[in-house]
Amino acid sequence: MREYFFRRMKRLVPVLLITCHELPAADPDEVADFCRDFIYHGTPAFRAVYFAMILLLQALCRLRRRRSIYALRPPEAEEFLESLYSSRVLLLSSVPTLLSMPVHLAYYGRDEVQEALGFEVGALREEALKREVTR
Amino acid sequence: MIIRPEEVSGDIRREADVVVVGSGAGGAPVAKELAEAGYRVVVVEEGAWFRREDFDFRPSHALMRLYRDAGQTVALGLPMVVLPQGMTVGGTTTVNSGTCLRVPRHVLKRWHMEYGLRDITEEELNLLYAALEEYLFVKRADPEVAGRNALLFLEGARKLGYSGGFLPRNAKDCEGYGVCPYGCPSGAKQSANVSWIPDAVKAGADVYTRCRAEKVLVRGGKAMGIRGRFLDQRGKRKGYRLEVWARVVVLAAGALQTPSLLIHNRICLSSGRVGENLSVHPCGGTVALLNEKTGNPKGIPQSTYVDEFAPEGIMLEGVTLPPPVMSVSLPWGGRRHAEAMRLYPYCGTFGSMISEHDSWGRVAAGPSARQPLVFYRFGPADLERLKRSLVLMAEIWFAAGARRVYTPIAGYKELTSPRDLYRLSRHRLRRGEIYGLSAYHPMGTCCMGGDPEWSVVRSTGETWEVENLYISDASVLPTSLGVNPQLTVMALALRTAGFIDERLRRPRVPPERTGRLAEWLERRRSAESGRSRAAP
Ligand SMILES: Cc1cc2nc3c(=O)[nH]c(=O)nc-3n(C[C@H](O)[C@H](O)[C@H](O)COP(=O)(O)OP(=O)(O)OC[C@H]3O[C@@H](n4cnc5c(N)ncnc54)[C@H](O)[C@@H]3O)c2cc1C
Ligand code: SF4
Repeated sequence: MREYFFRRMKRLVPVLLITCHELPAADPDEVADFCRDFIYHGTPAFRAVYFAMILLLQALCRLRRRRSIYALRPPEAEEFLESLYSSRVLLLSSVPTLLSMPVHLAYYGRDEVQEALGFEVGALREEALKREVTR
Repeated sequence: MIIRPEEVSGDIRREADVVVVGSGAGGAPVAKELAEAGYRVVVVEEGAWFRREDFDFRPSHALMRLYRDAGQTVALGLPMVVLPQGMTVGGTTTVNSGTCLRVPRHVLKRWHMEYGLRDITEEELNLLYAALEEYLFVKRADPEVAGRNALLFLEGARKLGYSGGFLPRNAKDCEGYGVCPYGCPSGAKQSANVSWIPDAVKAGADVYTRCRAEKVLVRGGKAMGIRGRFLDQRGKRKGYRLEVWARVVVLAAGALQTPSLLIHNRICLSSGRVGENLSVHPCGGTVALLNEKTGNPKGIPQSTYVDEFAPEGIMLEGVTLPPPVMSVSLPWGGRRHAEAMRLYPYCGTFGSMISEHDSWGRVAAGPSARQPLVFYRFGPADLERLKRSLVLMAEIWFAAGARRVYTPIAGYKELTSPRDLYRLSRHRLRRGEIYGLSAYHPMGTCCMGGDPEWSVVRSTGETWEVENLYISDASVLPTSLGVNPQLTVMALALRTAGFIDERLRRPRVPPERTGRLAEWLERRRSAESGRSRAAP
């Protein structure tokens, strides 16, 4: 059961993750692995809601676009998600927001991405290692 | 000694004088004080033990290793409130921002008048605070490492004539790496994992890590020990058992887990107050787009404050968000989100904290003791104040030169000019219109008070119902504090340690001996009076 959802989640990563071209490209496998860990470490309630949102997203797509979300071309998928994000109905806007949460955490948590955004984690890590504060 | 589950090769059954459940702000000081007084102390901690080298500037991973349920704990209600809780050696102090503030006088007055806690005097608390501040190297944040973000906001506040300044923090030689909530990588922040716990271990305490206390052993109305279970890497209950028989049991599992433990053990429930009276200091956040780079998140994440509105219960305190955390805090999705993240270097952030007047929350039994249900309902006045705090922060950001300010309010996600502020000020906010709220200070769920009818513990920290069972964590704070609570939790913990010491001495020493805390306070008083006499 869980494997089924994780496979679906993996396929959703490219749909959910929109980045600007100045930043390093995303690795969907890496992102999906992180999401899997994040969801495992979380509450059973979060897990259940997350999986339910995957189903809901698919159902909404079939209802509105008459096709599976995986069958949409990237611009169509993007447009469909935008329509959900900007919905005034809290439930609808929550679907992509919640689904993309671990995806964003994974992508923007990568060292190269943090560094491209000006947070020099590699250099700081080395500096901090050398600099132990004792009481 | 710090003991990991991997080092345990069978069920453990042992004795101690004191067993402490939880190694955070409330538990660690008790463990250290009593271990140094010569008692056999055992600490049981559900989270894992990490060294400073393990803190690696990766917030996304830190959420999974250092926080309970990867930081996904929520209080149910509209709006939902995310309530992150530390779960590691040092508890939430390991992941907190290090701000150290004393309880405001009007709050203490309320405890005296409404909660029958007159014996917690201002004089005694001040002595305890002074000792804590010395032990934890508390001093005002250094403007050199406060971070451009914080300085810009403070400048904006000063332009508007609002009072503010630099926060006192428990950091020694802080370099402003900007990652306090994900573990301080240099050991500068004096969280319990680098201060109280190592000192307790030095004094002979044993700390069992990744071990969850499940059962409080009670015989004849007296607490006799605890039973727990070691956990696997994923936090699942798969390991050996731990049973500690002790003369005193101290619950210090935090304001969500301590009441849950009591409820699941069916003890101390007769007042009906266990789990009730939850306050959390709901927080709002703003992101501002500026014309200059803010250098975020480098700099102390929480270095400055604006307290102009503290009398209304609104405190503005700094916050910086590393890229992954910012990415989940923005009110946008899709292309808009990507665009906003591209401008991350130009983004400023600041937070607000409300001390509650008409909201209420509670912790109730969940599917397991580990997973209590938390409910929180905003009162209209608090919701309005939360909105006001967002308006005030936006006003300050505009004064600081912001081009745009993002808020978590539907219909007002992007404010482009001070004119938008007037619109937002006049808008009557409904519960469903604000989202993405968080809170970091749960407290009050095992309230301290002078009457067993409506409180769970006495002013000594001992529960009214079970002898030798003490509570020492944020759950005993009777009301919302209005300021960050860790210093007060620690001050009350030292006080409780003193009373436990008295209790443990009782059979062995004549009654006129008053315990270590009283002796220590006496020493401190004479030192203080000596100092003031010496002053010109
Ligand atoms: C991100 C963040 C930033 C914060 N910043 C500040 C700040 O700057 N200043 C400030 O004053 N406050 C701050 N706080 C709040 C402050 O850290 C807490 O109020 C304080 O640590 C509460 O102390 P406690 O002893 O109640 O709980 P904790 O410090 O959370 O300790 C409880 C411990 O008990 C353990 N535990 C729970 N159940 C069990 C069990 N059954 N068996 C074994 N162990 C168990 C937990 O794993 C945890 O380690 C912040 C909080 C957060 C989340
Ligand atoms: S700002 Fe950096 S060095 Fe300073 S206490 Fe926080 S994590 Fe440690």
